[in-house]
Amino acid sequence: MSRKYLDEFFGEIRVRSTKEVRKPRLRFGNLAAAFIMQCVAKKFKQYQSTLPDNAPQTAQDCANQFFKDRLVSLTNAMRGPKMADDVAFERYIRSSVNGWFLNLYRATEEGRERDALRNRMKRDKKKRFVNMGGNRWGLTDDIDSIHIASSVPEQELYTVADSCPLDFNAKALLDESRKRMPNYGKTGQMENLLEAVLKEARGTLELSVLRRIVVHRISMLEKTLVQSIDAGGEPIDLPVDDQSVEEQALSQYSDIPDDDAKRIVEEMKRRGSEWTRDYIRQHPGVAEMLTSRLENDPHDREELS
Amino acid sequence: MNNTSSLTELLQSYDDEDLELVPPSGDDLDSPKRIERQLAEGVKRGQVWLASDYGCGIGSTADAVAADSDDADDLDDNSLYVLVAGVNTDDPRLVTVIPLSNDLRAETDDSLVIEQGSPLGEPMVAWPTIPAIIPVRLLYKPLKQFAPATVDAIVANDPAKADPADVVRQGETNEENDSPFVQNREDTIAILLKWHVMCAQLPKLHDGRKVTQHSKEELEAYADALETVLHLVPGQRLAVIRGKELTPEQQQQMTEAGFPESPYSKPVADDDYLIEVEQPLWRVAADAYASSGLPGDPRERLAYKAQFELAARVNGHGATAVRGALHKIANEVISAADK
Repeated sequence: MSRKYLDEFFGEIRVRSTKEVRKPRLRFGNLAAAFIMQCVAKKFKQYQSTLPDNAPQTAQDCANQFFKDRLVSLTNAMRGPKMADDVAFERYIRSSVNGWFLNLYRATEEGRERDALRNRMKRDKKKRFVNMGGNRWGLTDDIDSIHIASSVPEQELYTVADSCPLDFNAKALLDESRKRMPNYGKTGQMENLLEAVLKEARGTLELSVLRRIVVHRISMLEKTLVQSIDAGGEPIDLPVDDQSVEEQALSQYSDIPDDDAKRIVEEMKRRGSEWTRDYIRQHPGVAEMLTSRLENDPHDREELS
Repeated sequence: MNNTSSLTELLQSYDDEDLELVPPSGDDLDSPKRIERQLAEGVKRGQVWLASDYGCGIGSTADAVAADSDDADDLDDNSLYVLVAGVNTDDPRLVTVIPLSNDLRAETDDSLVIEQGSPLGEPMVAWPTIPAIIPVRLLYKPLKQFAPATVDAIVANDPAKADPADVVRQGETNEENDSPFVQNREDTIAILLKWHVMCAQLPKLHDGRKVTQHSKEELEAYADALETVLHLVPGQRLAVIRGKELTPEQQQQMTEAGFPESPYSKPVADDDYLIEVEQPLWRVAADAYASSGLPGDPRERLAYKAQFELAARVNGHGATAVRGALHKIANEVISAADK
């Protein structure tokens, strides 16, 4: 069972004569680096044509970015039970590189959305928004809440966002030959939405939270797209009924009893990591379940008949 | 981890010098001997462990372990660094942990950051606000411990209590914690929930059910009853004779017919064997058993073999006796797997 990558990683490489250290412990070395580079180059060829615009443009740049993004998880994996030998290492790297390319689109799209939102708020003519540091944003006029982080449940913020009007140019959206995404909302609508959400928040919100809410609002919009185009091909932005939107948002979780840990775990496995993250954010009670007793506790001793 | 070299820099580092590779030794974190020593000490408050559910699914079999494929991408198995906050005295198969991370991108407002003093030699994030009770069998690799005062600081969520030589501060939410490349707080909670649910699936402790002998007449009478009372076909009767459990309804019917206990049900090891075998020290043996393709839950089987199948029977149920027996069985199972 050859373990050259493991030995290289856990070992210290030094000059025999002077004892000068060339590679400290717990770092990847030549062998690992060469294999990683080889895997990335292969996958780069495969995914090159579908990479998003702000992705690294050469195999070398991809490899460096992969290494930076994944270094912690790669390092931790070296200590894990699966990493028994070289075969395991190579298998792990291949699958990690593949997963990275697949996630690239998701990460850069999110980055782009965050940048777009940040710019909208910075450039607001009415100067409604202020960056309070650490990516937290608040309303300039809201002197009371500007220094505190919002503690309003995210669910309520989604509801507010859903009741804000957001028109858009359906033709432009559906036009596949357009390179740039059209702006959502007539001038000012997005800013009004952000203002309404921040008002409801009664405190500062993180940029990533605002992004999630906006993305959710847009996806609600896109759902109505197919059903609501008028004779001229223009969309009818349906006035959104508060109650039905809340129901809709809640319904993705409604058939999961929120005290049934086993059910929740099954659902998490079924739906994947993004759904799981959202679920946990919206259900702070999950953390309390971690120290509770469960049904079929091994201490419930059956009576011997 | 202060590794700021890019991958391309690593490719160029040290080509033609006369180099030697020095493996970890002595008190190095990853020295195999040091790990063995800490494993033998048992699970204690303040220790840091790498916890992992690889191969640990309750009732996992050889098939599950062997089903690894190129596309698996460790989707189904997870790992976390954890701090042992306490062992459960009622049931030492359970342990209370506080999740840790060595990825500062995961830092959040409700976390503490141990800038200095972590046994990993690099800053770590801790979440005292999300302690969890998990099966102790998930603890895979012991990685030394925090200073006792720092353990108190983490458990109490109070940096002021930390050891004066350590540096502990309140965390601040990192912009990147939503990235798909970071195992963040929500991911951590999801993993802990999955592990917490496993606690309910551990084999039931039996309060000392003893192995009893049964006569030929008893065995025959029971087998007949399987046919006359439950109307099982030969194949089904055979399965029960080989130890398959009846459903609660079937058990009810048999009890009413005068057969409350099956003489064929497999005897199980005593509680102290079942409890000891859950400890991390026996994980290698459990994994070896699982990968050998033999049937049954690896830990139950190891406990059973240790109690009933050693050539030189072990007397008594004291901890030393139990561990001695398990050591012997573990060695057998591991060397058989290595062949």
